[in-house]
Amino acid sequence: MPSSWDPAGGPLRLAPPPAEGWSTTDREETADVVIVGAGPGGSAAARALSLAGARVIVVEEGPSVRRAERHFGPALRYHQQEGGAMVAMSSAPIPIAAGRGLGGGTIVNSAIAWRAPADVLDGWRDVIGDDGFSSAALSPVYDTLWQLLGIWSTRLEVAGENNTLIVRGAQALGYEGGYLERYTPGCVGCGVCYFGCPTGGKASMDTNLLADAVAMGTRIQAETKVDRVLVEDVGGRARAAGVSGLMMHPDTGAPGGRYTVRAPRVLVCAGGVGTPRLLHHAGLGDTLGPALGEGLHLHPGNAVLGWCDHDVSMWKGATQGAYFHPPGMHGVLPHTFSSPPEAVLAMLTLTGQATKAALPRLGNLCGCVVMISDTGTGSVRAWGDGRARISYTFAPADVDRIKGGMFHTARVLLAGGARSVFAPVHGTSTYTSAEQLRDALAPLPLENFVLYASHPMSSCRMGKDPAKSVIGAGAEAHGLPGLYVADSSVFPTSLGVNPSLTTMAMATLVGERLGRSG
Amino acid sequence: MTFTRRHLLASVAVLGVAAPVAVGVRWWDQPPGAPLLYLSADEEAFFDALADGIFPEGGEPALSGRQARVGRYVDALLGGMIPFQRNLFRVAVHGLNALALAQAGSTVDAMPPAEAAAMLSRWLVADDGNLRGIAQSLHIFIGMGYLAHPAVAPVIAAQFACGFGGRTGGFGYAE
Repeated sequence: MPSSWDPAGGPLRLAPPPAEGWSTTDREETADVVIVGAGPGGSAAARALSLAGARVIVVEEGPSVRRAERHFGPALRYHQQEGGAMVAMSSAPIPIAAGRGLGGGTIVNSAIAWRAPADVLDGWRDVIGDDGFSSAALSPVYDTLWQLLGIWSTRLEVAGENNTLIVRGAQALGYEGGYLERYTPGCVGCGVCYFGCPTGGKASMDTNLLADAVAMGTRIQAETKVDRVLVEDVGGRARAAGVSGLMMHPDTGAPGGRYTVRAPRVLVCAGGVGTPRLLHHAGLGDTLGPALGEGLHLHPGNAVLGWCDHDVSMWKGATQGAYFHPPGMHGVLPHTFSSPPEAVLAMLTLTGQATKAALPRLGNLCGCVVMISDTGTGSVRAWGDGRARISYTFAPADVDRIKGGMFHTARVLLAGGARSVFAPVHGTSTYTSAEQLRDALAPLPLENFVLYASHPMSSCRMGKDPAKSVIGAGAEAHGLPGLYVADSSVFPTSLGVNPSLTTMAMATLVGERLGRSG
Repeated sequence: MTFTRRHLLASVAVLGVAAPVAVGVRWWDQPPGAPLLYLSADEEAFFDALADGIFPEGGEPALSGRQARVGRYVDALLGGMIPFQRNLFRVAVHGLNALALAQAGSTVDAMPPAEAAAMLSRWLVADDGNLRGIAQSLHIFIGMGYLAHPAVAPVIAAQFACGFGGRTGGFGYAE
C-alpha cells in the first residue's frame, strides 16, 4: 500500500521486503531509475522515487534475506563488504566496516541519529555552490525521518550500566553529553546491534524506508555485484544507460547469471568505499575525473575500556547509547562501546587458562570509543578483481586528537565508576588515573594503536569544481550525464557525527529531485 | 546459450548450497572426514592448536578449543571473504607456522597447548605491528568460534545474554 510523507501513524515498522536473489539465468530488465546499493542512501532514494511514481530497481550485493545470527561470524560473513576484511593501508592498518544486504550498514550499525552540524553544512554550501543541502533544506527531511524511523533518546530502562556510567562520568566532570538519540523505536536493550537486531526493534532500512519503497513498487535484485555501468552515445555525448552485474552466491561466492538493468538514470549508493570502488572498477576513472576516489575520510578512532568493581555487563542495554563532548576538542566524539567478548579477550592478549579465568570478569568491563572528525584523507581504487584498494594518510594533528580524546574518555570512565582503565595500544598498561594513560600514550607512534573506522565518506564528492569533485549540486556526475550518486561518498568534508541519518536525508532530496524531473 | 566455465561453477554452487549453510550453522558436529571448504587439513590443525592454546581443556567451560572444532568454524567463516583475501589469510597461516618453526623449533599445529599459548602470547605483544595485528585477528576469529559453540555459549550468556543466550525478552534477556 503506498504511503506518504505524513508520519502521523508513527514510525514505519514493516516486514523485510521480498527480493530476487542468485540464479544461473541471465536476465535483463528496464526501469526509470536503477539504484546500486540497498543501504541508507539507496533505500531513502528508492522511497522518494517510488513516492513520485518512478519505476525503480535496487541492485544489492548482499544476501536477499537477512543472515544475521546475533554472533560476530554471520555478521562478518554475510553483512560486511568483503567479509569484513577491508583494510585501509596506512602507517597503521585500519580495518573498515561497511555493511551489505537489504539495509546495508543499518543492519549492523548502532542506529545513532545525528543531524549534520550546522557549521559543517555551511561549509558544504560554499563548496557545492548551492543551497540544496543547507540546514534549511535538510531540516524538514530530518524532521520527517525522525518520525518515520521512530528516533528517540535512549530510555533509561534500556540504557544499561555501560551507557549510564558514561553519562554519570560526564556529568560529574561537567562535560556536555548524555544519552544518544537512535532509530530504535522498539529497542529492548539486547546490545547486539552490531550483528543485526534480533527483535526488529531497530529501524534498519529493510524494516523501514526500503520496505516502504517496495510496498510502493520498487523491486530488489540482491546477491548481485554490479561491475559495469552501461554507457551509450546520445547525440554525440556519452550518457549512463544502466548497470550490469554478476549474481554471486551468498554462501559460496560462486558466480551465477549476469543481471542487467537498462535505465536512463543510474543512482549509485554503494557507500564511501563501494561507490568509488565500483566506478573505478567499471573503468570510469578517466570519465569521472581526478577527484573520483580521492578525499576519503574515515572517522578513525580507538577505544578506552575500564575495569569496574561492580557489574556492568556491557551487552545489557543499548549497544551504543551515550556520548560526551571533550571540552575544547571540536570534532572529537567519544561514545559508548560495548565490545564483543571475543574482541575483549584479544585486546587483553590472554591465552591459556588465563583466558577462561577472565570470562567471569568480563561483566566488570565498561567501554567507550573515541571517534574523530578527521582532517587526514585517503583514496579508494579498485584492484583488478574488484576488491577495494584503500589507502589513508593520517594527519599528525588527528593522532594528537585521538590521544586527547582517549585521555578525556579515561577521565569520564573513572569518574563514572571505573576503578582502572586500559586501551588497546601496544606499549601501554592498565592505569588508575587518566593522566597515567595520557603520559603513556604521548610518545607512542600511531603504529602502536589498534585503529578502527566504520564511517567511510567523501570519496566521490559533491561540488561545483569538476577538478575537486565528482558530482554537481544535483548529484549528477560532472563527467557522465545520467549517472548520479547519493550516499556518504558525496559529503564534501568529514561530517563529524555518525553519518547514516544525513545519508538518508541527502538521498531523499536527490530522489525527490529525480522524481520531479521525470 | 553456450555452456561456459561460469555456468559450470554455478552448477557446482547449486549442489554445494546445503553443505556450506550447514557448516556455517553447525560446524561443531561435522561428521569425521567431512570435507573442508577452504582450509587444508594442516591449516585446520593450525587453528585447532592455536585454539587449544587460547582455550585449553579444563576450567569453566571445560571444553577445549580443539574440542570445540574451531578450525571448522574458521573454515566456514572464510566463505564470506573473496578468494584473494581467503588466500592471503591462508598464506598468513603458513607464514606463522614457518615463524613458529624458526622461533620455537616446531610448527604451531605440532605444539602442545601450553607451548602454543606461549608462542601466541609473544606474537600478541610483538614489536612488529604486522605480526601483532595478525595474531590479534586470529585470536578474535578463534574466540568467535569458541564462544559461539553450543557448549560454551550458555556460560558466556550469563553476561552476554542476547548474543549468546538467544533470549530477547524484556530488557534484552528474560530474568
